Amino acid sequence: MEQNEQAPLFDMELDAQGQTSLMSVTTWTRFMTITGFIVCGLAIIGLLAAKDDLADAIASYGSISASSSEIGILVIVCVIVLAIVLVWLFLLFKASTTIKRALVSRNSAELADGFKHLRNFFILSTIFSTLSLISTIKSLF
Amino acid sequence: MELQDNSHSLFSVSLDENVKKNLRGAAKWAGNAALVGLVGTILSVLVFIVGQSRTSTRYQSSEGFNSFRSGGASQSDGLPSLVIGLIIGIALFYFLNKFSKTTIAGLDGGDSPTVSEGIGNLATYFKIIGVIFIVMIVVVFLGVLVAIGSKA
Repeated sequence: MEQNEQAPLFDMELDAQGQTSLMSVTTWTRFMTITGFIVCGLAIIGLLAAKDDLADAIASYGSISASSSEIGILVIVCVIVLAIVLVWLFLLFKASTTIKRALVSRNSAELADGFKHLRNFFILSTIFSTLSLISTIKSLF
Repeated sequence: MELQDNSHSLFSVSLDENVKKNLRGAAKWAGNAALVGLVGTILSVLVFIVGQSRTSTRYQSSEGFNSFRSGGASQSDGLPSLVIGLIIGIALFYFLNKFSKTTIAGLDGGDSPTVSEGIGNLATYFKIIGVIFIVMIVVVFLGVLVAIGSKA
């Protein structure tokens, strides 16, 4: 009992304002990730459906002639990139749903899990931003 | 006493050590992402300016003053998108960085309102991205409508 009374002294609590802000975070991230999933899904379907037309499209842009195997590799690379983006979106979606569930059920363990997914999302974001930065630096020279 | 404790926990969520550790991790990495993003935005502006000056010089040396004017026109064409991109990039950096710094400071000082303020900045950050998403969806939708209209 004495232990229970001491617990609030050491544990911080998220006030109503913080909970409202977190709810807002989950709403927006949910909207963004669901939209992202739809866009990625449509892009994958479009890429696979238009695989044969890609060679003509590339040829029409210049003197580059791409063989069917090269087009196949290009499509595979695009699908892999889209899959990585899907994983990135999934991490944000998982963070969003877990944090929302934690707020509704007042569950600290789930909240910790949600923040863990959010951390992983930001780790992947940093990696993507760094890769983009490297490509920008390359284009400078 | 026990009843009071239960009713209190109905309205607040406890931030135990595990939650704090993961929130601090998220805030730290968000700060890193914000910093790399800002450097990327500034470098993109630099690349744009360098690219434009190279194009202008190329036109100038190959075709003279008349084509220099056309190089200038293309520079002004890209300028609005560059300025919008820069403003968005700086705003995203500001809110994500503020989330990172405020939340970590709140967690270190055991100050709940500061942590809430930090999370408020994260909410603003995602709101901005959400609004950009909506604008992009509308633009793409209008583009598709125009394309369908021009084909018909």
